[in-house]
Amino acid sequence: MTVNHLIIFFITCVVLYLIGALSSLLSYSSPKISNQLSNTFALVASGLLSIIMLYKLLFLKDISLNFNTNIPFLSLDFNIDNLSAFFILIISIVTMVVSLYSYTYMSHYFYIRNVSVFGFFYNLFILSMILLTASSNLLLFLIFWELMSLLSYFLVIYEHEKEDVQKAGRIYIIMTFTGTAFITAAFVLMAYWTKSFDLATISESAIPSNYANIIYVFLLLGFGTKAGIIPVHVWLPYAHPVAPSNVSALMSGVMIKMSIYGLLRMVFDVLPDNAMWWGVLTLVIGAISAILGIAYSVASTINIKRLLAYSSIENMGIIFCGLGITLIARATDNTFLLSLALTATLLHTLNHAVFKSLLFMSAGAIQYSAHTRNMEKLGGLIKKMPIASVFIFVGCLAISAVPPFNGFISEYIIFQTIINCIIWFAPLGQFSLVILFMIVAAMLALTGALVAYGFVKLYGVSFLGVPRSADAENAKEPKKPMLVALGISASLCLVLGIFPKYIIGLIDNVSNECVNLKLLSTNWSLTNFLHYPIEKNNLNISVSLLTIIIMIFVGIVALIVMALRKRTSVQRYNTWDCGFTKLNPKMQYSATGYSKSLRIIFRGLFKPNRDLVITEGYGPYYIKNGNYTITTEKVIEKYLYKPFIKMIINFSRKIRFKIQTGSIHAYLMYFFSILILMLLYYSFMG
Amino acid sequence: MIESVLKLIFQVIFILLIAPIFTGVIKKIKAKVQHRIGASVFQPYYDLMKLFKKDLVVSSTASWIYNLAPYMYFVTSLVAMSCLPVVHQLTGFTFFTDLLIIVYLFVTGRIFMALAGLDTGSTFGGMGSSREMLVSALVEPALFLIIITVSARAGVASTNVSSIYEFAVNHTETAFTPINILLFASMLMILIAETSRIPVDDPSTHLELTMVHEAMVLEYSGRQLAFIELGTYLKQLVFMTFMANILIPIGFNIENIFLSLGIYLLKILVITILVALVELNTVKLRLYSIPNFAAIAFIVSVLGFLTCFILK
Repeated sequence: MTVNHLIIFFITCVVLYLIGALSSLLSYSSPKISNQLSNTFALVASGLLSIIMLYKLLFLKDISLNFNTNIPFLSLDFNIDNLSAFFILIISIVTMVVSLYSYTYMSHYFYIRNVSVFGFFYNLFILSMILLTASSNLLLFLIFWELMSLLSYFLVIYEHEKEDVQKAGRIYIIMTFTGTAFITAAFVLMAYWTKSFDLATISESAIPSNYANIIYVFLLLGFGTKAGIIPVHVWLPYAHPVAPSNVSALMSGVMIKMSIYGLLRMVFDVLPDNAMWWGVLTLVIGAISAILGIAYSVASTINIKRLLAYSSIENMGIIFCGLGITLIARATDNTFLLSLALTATLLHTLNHAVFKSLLFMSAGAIQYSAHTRNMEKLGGLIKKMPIASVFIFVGCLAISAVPPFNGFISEYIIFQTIINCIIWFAPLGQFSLVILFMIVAAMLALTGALVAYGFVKLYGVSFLGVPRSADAENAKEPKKPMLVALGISASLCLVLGIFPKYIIGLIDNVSNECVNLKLLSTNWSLTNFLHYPIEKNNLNISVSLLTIIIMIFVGIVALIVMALRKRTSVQRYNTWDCGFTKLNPKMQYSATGYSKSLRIIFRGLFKPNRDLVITEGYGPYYIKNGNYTITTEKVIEKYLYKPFIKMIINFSRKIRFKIQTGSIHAYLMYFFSILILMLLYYSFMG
Repeated sequence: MIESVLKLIFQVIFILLIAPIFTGVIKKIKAKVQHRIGASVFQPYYDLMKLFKKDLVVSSTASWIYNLAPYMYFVTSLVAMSCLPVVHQLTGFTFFTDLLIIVYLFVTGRIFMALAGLDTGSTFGGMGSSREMLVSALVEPALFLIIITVSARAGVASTNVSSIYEFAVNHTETAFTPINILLFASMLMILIAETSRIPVDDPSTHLELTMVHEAMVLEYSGRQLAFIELGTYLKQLVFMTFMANILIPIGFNIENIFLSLGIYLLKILVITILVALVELNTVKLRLYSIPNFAAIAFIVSVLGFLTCFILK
């Protein structure tokens, strides 16, 4: 394939998404056909796109497309280099699986909601992300960024008549526009210095360091809002749970990764020198997001999707940690560390996209079969949906970093990066950095353990034990396309975990472009087939061989058990009930109870409040009725956002009657005076 | 290659044989100090033999996870134990002898056990499972700091056991330095927390208010319980071996394998006595005091880290 072929294929994909969007809209009379059309086109386009991007990453051909327009500064420049290609690969893999999943998932909206409009927005949303990643003009980037935010907003408020959906939509749109405002400000500052919005031109001209500092802080705030970094995360736990599950899979799997893309793109293309404190700042907020995200995820949720949303904050925090180390290494010109940290960042981005989309799809599958997302009403699903529960189990193991699944390898590399940093900075006498890395490592360790806690809670309460409601009792295995989609995602988790070498080979091409160093010697020979990756510095572990060893041990144990089984018998009997009456489902440990000890230990974070109302019968020991409520407070919203909002509202109220008089003469005077001021400014300064 | 495979097999058989005895020793020491005769130090072996022969009672609500969990717990502990060098470095197996792999193997086993606790639908199981996940989460930062300290000190930028062990063998003078003592103290506390011993958990009680690990495995019987017990013995031995061979790097004798084996067992015995003494002199903590215990372990490991990299 030559470059021209790739360009033609890329345009074909874009057109396919557009056809998918339009055909879904045109076939509005039959939701079934509309759903099939939109998902089939998205599926085919994403499949084709992932092959193209894989080819591009392997054989390193830049794809660029240029169209000039008459609009000043805006030229339709698209350029897909390795970094863009890697992110488009993530988008296309996730959308491929999610589209397959949507065949079944959307069917429960048939004749209740407008499925054809959904298909329209769905395809355009995917397309906007792909073109955003491909565009090499800042204005174009901004346009697609806004399109992406708007289209995702429409998808989030799909069940728009519900009150919580409206509230979530409002919070989401306000936060995302605030973020975009910061990004726009950063872009304008860049363009102010370079007199161009074209990335290639900007990258050639140096931006003075004090401006670069402001630009980076703006970028961090802007992209951080989209990424859901604490404290600008508030929209994420609202918007993800209320959106349809395929949309939350796309948003959490892919959309929030666009902020990582944006940051990496701007840092490596536009800001050639970065100060050390950029990295430190990013690392610190990343670590804080990781730990607070997972703490909220475990302790204050009974809604599966809210748990997953908080866990997305945690994972974005880990990715930001990787990014922070990348920037620290870049500031000290250590190419090996830089390349290692970048690899960790990109690998975790990919892995999180895969397992988080799997988990959000799982939440959708649970809702599809059991009609609830509330863990307290689930239970025993492993017997009702035996195949799906295996795939969901894989997702939970992958996110808890259990070898051999993919979450393990990226966490492993992140810890290796931190150790390398300590070894590098300790002899240089930069002790504050060493202590910082130590604290971050400890925070990430606690995060990792809490992730396991949270996902044991998710899986244990909703899938094991006895059903807690009639809905869970009547749950059924979801239909084929949904199962296949879950299965593909689960096997991707396994394959990416067992053969990380190949994906690290791809990432090497990306980091080679940014850093000019390859971690792997990229000979793809058979001797290296099993061994994982970084030969430098004796880092080579092999997850695949580890898996084989575990398998051998499991086999031996299985043989022993077989031998023992002949001599002994197995009796199925009721769970031990202390000799009292038969156990009932309400006596099981609940999701709230499961995380109670954590809430108490970290009560400063959650401010838990319990309320126990008891109706007594014959005496204090004969309780007729009891009502136990536990609430946790959203501390950041209460102490950070509420005062801020109050301040703004008060301020607006005060000046409202001074500026907004309602008289048209006053407004005309504002226009006129601004015009005069502008003319004066340009006649003297310009 | 064949030689190293044989070595691995010998190591696996050896550790399986010796692992239960240390629990027997702890119980014996406790009995002696309390002026009881106590059971024989081989009692754990008799218990295991009996459990292997017994019939099973499985809860009717349990799923395949409940049946798989004991074997996964056992296998992960066994693989973790074969990562560590008992007497010799297992050459040829560096691809999985990694400290982080050991930690994540433990996480795997713990996840399976915690899920199994929830699987039977009993309150005890859920309570134990929740507490077990909590306790191990609290000591995780200290564990990672110890790992980071020993691996960064070896200077090869890797958590691989082979390089850390090599550093330990070549630097026997580090045996009783402040760094090692601090790390050792912290590791001892982690050992106590992770293997459910007093003051964090009481392995010999079946009172629901105090149970952690025992509550989680309450429903198990027969060979499944035997595998869980064996897994716990192995897990205990992993921590002890780490302390003995990496934090007290003395008495390695590469030529005479039996001598170094004897020294290894002696070191493990000393650690066992330490654990028994801690058990004898403390009482079980309230559940909400365990964070303080974990915080002390963490602070001690931080001091170890700082001594290693900043104060030297």
